[in-house]
Amino acid sequence: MQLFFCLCVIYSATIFAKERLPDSILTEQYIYCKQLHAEEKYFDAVTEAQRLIFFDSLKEYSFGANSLIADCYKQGGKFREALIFLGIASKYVSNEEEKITNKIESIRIHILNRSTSIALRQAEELKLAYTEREAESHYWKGWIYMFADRWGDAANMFALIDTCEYLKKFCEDIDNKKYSVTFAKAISYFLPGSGQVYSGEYINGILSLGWNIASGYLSVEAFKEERVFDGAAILSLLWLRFYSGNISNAEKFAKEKNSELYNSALNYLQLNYKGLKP
Amino acid sequence: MSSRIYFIICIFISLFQQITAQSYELLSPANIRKFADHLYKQEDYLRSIEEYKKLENYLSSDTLLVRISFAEIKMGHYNEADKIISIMSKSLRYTGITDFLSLRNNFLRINHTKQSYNNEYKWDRTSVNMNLWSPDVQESFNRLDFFRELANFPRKDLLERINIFTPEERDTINTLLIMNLDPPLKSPLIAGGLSSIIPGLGKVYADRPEEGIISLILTATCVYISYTNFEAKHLFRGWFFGGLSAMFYVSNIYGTVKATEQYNLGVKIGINNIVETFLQARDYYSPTSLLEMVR
Repeated sequence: MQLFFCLCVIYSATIFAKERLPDSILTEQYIYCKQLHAEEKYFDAVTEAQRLIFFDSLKEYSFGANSLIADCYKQGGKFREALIFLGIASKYVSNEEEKITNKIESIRIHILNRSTSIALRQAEELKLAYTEREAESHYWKGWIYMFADRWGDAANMFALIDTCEYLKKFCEDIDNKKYSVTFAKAISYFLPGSGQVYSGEYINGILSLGWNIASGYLSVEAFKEERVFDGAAILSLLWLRFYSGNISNAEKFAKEKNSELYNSALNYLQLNYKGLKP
Repeated sequence: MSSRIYFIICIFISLFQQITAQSYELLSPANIRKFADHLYKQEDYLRSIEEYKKLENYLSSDTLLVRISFAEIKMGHYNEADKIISIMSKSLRYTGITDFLSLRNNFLRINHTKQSYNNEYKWDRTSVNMNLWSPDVQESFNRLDFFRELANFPRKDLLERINIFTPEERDTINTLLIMNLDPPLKSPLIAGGLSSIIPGLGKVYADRPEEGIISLILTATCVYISYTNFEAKHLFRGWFFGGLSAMFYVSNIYGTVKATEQYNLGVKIGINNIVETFLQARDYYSPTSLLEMVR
């Protein structure tokens, strides 16, 4: 009986000793993961963080390791994977601060992923859940609007924060410089080609005007000579196509110019703005 | 007295276990193997290969080499998989597992990369000695080899080999064979010819009736307008619309040929996908002994 009891004790001690790695080893591994992340060796950082998670039977490092993996994927532009690991990390939050950090990180990834509605909803949830974080919520909403090409709305958001005067003015400046797509389309209805000229595409505008005049002339001449079928065919197959093409081109060029403007603005902020960015 | 001795021994052994646990390494071979197996099961093949290769004995372990080759194949690295297969042990070679893996790799490479069947990948059945193989491995090899032949040289005499499959599968395989022998392709020459006679007709033949109708209307309308302009003595307009109709006519024929080629490509891809799905559902007829090594 005594021998049996001793064997049970020894066996339990063996299992317990072998299954649980010492804390010091796991801590060192976590430090190593962060070091790899700091050195921008993201592939290796993810591997080592996965190793940490696998051997961390008590899940003490699950939040940190999963958050680190999420950030590695975010740096690599793999936003879907980043969100998955962020979601896993959210299950292991141990305090409010970690919960808020996780939420904000999720908003940032959604901004980069251009999931505007989800990001806005999460920013609003942050504001409602933590009233002291209202300024932070407005800040990230500003960035959400910037990435959604709504620079006017972004300027309004930054206006609510005292310390974001620079971003407010920057957004207003971009909003003033952008081309009005509606205006480009409207003037193209009255004068084909004018919308393209408004967007700076002069040659396209002149060509569009030329095609419309030529096809219009041919169509009218055909009707005048009572060649009704010819006139109708030229009108429907040529003139209307050039006319509608002119309107869609006006819209397309205005949008393209705006995209160039927004992308260069975001690029400028990426390189020159020193504050928090997504 | 004996109770005290037992108690002292227990304490001593427990303490000893704790001490040895404190020197437990995260990167010990056993831990690396555990982690690598975990990554493999998670289908993180690139990382699992890296971990397996950290083990000193991986080159002499057939199980690890088989897993690495499977992982390389899953990632589409067929050349790397070939290299791994070539260093597998003689014992595995005698069982036929190595030949089966080579065949599987070969088949997937051809099916997925569409590399032409050149001498580099030519499979010489006479060099394969199947006498030492187990019946399970022989059966698996023959079945997969049938599909390799089907992918490369679909021909009628493959029908004679259908008996190597189970009676339940023979009908399906017969259908797959017929699909490969006589796929429902369309001739670009006929399509182009039809479009040259009646603009748009070739596109209807190529299963794009809407495009065919548009081509016909555009070409016919331009021709008619050109004719009426010449009749009304408007030479410039006549030539303008005549040129436009010629342009529509030529581009219609070119477009028809391209549409037919795209149609044929879609048919071939569809057949390949059906075969692939069929084989995936059966683990490519991998022998049981091989499946046990990779699961």
